[in-house]
Amino acid sequence: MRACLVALLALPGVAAGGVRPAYGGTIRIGIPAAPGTAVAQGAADLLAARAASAPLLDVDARGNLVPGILAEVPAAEADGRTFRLRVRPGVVDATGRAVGAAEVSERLTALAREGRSPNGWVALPILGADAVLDGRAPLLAGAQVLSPDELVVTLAFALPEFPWLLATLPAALPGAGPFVPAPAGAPQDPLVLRANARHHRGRPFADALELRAVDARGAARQLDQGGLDLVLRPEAMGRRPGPALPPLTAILAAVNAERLGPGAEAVRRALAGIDRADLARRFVRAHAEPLATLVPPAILPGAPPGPARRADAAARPPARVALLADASAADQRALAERIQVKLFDAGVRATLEAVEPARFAERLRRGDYDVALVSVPVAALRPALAAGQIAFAARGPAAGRRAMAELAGLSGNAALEAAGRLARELELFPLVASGLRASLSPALQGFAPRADGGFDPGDLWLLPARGAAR
Amino acid sequence: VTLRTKLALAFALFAAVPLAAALWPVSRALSRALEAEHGARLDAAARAIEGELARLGDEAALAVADLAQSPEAEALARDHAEAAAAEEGTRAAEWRAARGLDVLAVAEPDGRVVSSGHLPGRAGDVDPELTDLFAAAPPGRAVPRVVSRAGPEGVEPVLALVAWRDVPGGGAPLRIAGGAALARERAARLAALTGGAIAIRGPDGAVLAEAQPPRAEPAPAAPPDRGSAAPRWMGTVLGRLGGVARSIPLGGPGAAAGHIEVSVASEGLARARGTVLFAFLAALAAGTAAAAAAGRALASRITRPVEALQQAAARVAAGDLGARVEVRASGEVADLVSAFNAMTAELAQSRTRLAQAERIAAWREVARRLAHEIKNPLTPIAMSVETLRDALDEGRPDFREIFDEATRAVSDEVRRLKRIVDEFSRFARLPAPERAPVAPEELVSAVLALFPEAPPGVAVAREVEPGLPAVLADRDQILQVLLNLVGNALDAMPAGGTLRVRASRAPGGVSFTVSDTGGGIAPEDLARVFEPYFTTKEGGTGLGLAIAHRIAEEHGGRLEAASEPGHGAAFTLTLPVLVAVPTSPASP
Repeated sequence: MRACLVALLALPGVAAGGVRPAYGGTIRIGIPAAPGTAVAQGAADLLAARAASAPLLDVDARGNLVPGILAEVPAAEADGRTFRLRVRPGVVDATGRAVGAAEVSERLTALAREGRSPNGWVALPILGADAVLDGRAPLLAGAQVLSPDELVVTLAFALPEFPWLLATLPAALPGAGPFVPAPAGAPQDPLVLRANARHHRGRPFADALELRAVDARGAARQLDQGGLDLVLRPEAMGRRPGPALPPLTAILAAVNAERLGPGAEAVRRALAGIDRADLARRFVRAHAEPLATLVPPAILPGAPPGPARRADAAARPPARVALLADASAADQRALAERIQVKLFDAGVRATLEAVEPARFAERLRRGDYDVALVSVPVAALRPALAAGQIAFAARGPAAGRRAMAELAGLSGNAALEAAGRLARELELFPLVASGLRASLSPALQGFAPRADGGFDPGDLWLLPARGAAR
Repeated sequence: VTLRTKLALAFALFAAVPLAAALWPVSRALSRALEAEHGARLDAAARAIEGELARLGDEAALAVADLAQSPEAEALARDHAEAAAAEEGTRAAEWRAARGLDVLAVAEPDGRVVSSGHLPGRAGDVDPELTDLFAAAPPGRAVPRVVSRAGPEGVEPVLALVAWRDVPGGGAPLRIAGGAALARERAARLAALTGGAIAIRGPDGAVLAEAQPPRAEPAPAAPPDRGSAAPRWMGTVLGRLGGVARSIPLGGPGAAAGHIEVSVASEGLARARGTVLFAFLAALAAGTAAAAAAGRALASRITRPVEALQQAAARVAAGDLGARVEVRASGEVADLVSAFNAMTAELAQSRTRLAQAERIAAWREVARRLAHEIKNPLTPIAMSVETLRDALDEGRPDFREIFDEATRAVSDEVRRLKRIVDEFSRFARLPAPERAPVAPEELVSAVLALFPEAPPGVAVAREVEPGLPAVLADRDQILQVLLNLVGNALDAMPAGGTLRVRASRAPGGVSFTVSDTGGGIAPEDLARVFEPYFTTKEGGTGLGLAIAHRIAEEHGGRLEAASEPGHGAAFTLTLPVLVAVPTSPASP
C-alpha cells in the first residue's frame, strides 16, 4: 500500500530508529475535554474532526500546500477571483460512495449555511455566501460544478489566499478521513474511531483511535502506566515530552463599547495596559506567545507599526462590568482572572462569568457582555484568513469578510498595520496565542505536527511489540 | 361634665397616683436587672468571639507554618527560577483547598506574588497588602488584615487573620502567607456561636460581612396564649429600641484593621422587660378602672335623688304638677326631696283653686255679657209693646201702621236675641274637630264658591301655590273659619277693594291668608281681635274671630292677624299637614 512507502520515507521515528511502521493496535489519546458532537472548535473536537475527515488540500512538513482530496493546488485565474478545483479521481468515503466535485461544492455550501457557527467564515469569500447565509438562496452562486471531477469557485473579492482556505479543517470532507467514528457508547466512554480502509491515502496504521478526556494528573499517571499513547494538553508531562503545537489559538478581549457607554474608555485603557508577555508567561499553561495583532505571531510575526491606542486618562470607569469567559478552557479562566485584577486596579469592578461554550457563543452573538474573552483556534496560515476567522468569531460575518478583504494579499508590515487597525476598529484587544503540548508514550511513533498545528492521525503507529499485544 | 363623671375621675386619679408611685420603681429595678443580664451575655459573646478568633489565628499560623515546611513548598522554592510561571501560578489554589485556608499566597520577600489562591490574577504583581504584612507582622503570628480576594461580585475586600512564613531550604527566598477569612460563612459561625448578630467591619467602618443568629426552633404545638401577644410585641419594640452591641477591635488599639460588632439577641430579655412594663401598665389600668367604677357607683348613690329632682322639676315646668320624687335619700338630700314634693302638692292645690275662681269669673262674665246683650233688644221690644198698647187705647187711626211697625221691631229684636243665644250656645258647645286630609285648593275653592258674585267694587284674587300637600282638618270647621275671615274682609271694604285669598307653604304646614284693602285695624284693637265679645262692628257679637281662633288652636294650628291702618288687614290661618312640608323659598 501507498501508506507504507510514504510513511517510511516521511516519519522521523522510522528514520531515527530504523523500525518499520506496523499496522494494528488502538492508539489512546488523552485530551483536555471530551469531544463534542456539534461543531468542532476545541482541541479534542478538531482532532476528532481531523481523524474523520479528509482535507481538500494538505500542508506538508515545510508548510507548503500539497494536494489532498483535490488533485492539485488550484491557482487563481486572470481575474484573481476564479479558481478551478479538480478532485482526485477515485476518491471514496468510508461507505464507498464516490467523492467528487459535487461533494466539494456541497461542503462549501454547507459551510455557508452554518451561518454563525465557528466554521461559517470559510465560505465568506465565495460569491453568493451572503444569500445562502441569509436564506435567500439554497446554493452558492460562486460554486459551479463543471463535471464530476471539476468545479469552479468564484469569489466575491480577490483573495489570493483562497487555496489556504481549502486546506483548513472546516473545508475538509467529513466521512472520508482515515478513521470513522464508531457507534457512540455511554457518555463517559471514550470516543472510538475505527480505521477507514477506503481512505484515499490508504488504510491508517492503527486499527482504532480512542479519544478520552483526562485532567493533568490523570493524563500524567496514565501516560506513565501505559494507559495513554498521546496526551494533548496545555502541560507537558511524562518521560517523553513531544513538541509544542504552534500557538495558533488566539485569545482576545472583545469590548462591548455600545453597552459600556462612556465607561468603555476606562476599560480600554486597562486592557491596553496589560503586559501581554507577562500574561503569556504567567497565566497560560500551554505554549503561549503575546498576541500583538489579530493574527498569531506564528503566522504574522512582529508588532503593528501604527500608533498605539490613545487612552483618555480622565475617563470615568464604569461601576461594574461583566467579564464573560468560556468555562471549558482552563487557561481562559486564568486570563480572565488576570484581567479582572487589572480592571480592579484601574478602578473597574469586574464580575467573572464563566459559562458553557454554547451559552458563551449565544451571549457573544447577542452582545450580552461587557468584556468577553474570545478564543479562536486559527485554522489557516495566512494573515487575511486568520484575521477573517477571528473577526468572524468575535464580531460576525460582516467583520470577517471585511478583515479578509482588507488583508487580502498583504504580508509583513502592511499586514501588521492592517491587522492592528482592524483590531482597534473592531474593539478587539489581542492578548495571547497558545498551542497545546504533546506528550508521547515510548511506543507511539509517527507524530509529526505540521506548521498549522495539525497532524494526520493516520500517520500514527505503535511499536510492534505493543501493537501486537493489543 | 356631670357630677357623677367628676366623682369617678377623682376616684380614678386618687387610685392611679399611688399605684404608679409604687409600681414604677419596681419596674425600673427589674429593667435594670434585665439589662445587666443582657450586658453579661454580651460580655460572654465577646469572649467567645475573641476565643474563636484566637483559635482561627492559631490554626492559620499553624497551617501556614506546616505548608512552608512541606516538601512541595520547598520544591517550589527550589524550582522557582526555572519553573514555568503559569504552572507555579496554580499551586496556591491547590494548596489553599487542601489546607483549608481561605486566603493563601506565595510571594517573594518584596511582596511580588508568585501564586495566589484567593486572587489568582494577582500573580506577577507586587501586592502592597503582602508587602505591608511582611513589614508589620512577625512571621508565624496571625494578624488581622484586609485582603482583596476574588469573589462572585468581583474583587472584594475581606477581613482575614493572616500569618506568613519563609519557605526554608536552599531554594529561592519565598514566603507563604495564608489565613482564615472573616467572611460571611465565618460571620455565620460566630453568630451561631454567640447567638448574636455579627457585623464584620473594615478599618473605615464599612460592613464587610454580616450574619444574623440562627433562629430558635419554634416550640412544638405551643398553645395559643392570648396574654403573650402584647408582651411579644412590646418586647420586639423595646428590643429594637435598646439594641446594645459590643465592638471588638482587631489588631492594635491605635491601628485596628477592623472591628467585629456583636449584638446579642435580646428579644427574650426585651420581652421580659416588656412583660414587666406590660404588667405595670395593666395593674395601673386595672386599679384605675376599679377606682373609677367604685367612684361611679358611689357617685350614683349621691346623684340619683338630685337627678330625680331635676327630672321632676322639668315635668313641673312642663305643667305636670303631679310630679313626685320617689327615690330613697338621706340627710339634706332627703329634706330637699320632701320639700320638693310638698311644693308640687301645694302648687297643684293652688291651681285647682285658681281654676275654680276662673270658672266663677268666667260665668260672671258670661252672665254679664249675656244680660248686656239681652238687655239691649228688650228695650225696643218693651217700647214697641208700650207704643202698641198706647195706640190701641187711643184708637189711633193709623193703628194698623203702628202695629206693623211695632211687631216688625219686636220680630227683629227677637231674631237678634235668637242669634245671640245661638252664638253663645255654639261658642259653649263647639264640637271637637274630626280631622281628615283635605286639599288646600279645595278649601279655597269651596269658600270662594259661596260668593259666586263679588260685591260691587270688590275684586277677588285667588292664589294657590301648586303642589301643596293635604292639611289635616275638619273641613266644615275650617270652612267656617275661612267664611268668617272672608265675610269680615268684605265688611271692611264697603267702598270696594281687593279681596285676596292665598294658600301657600308655611313652616310646619300650609297657610291660608285672607287679606283686604280696607281701612285696616287700629293697633290698639289688633291685639284684642281674638278676644271673645270684642268687636268693632255695629251689631257684631265679638265671637266670630274668637271661635275661629279656637278652631285653629284645636286643629294644632294658629290664626294670626296683621294690619296697617289705611292699608287693610290680613288674617293667616296655618294648619298642619300630613307629613312635614319643606319650606318654600317663596313662602312669606
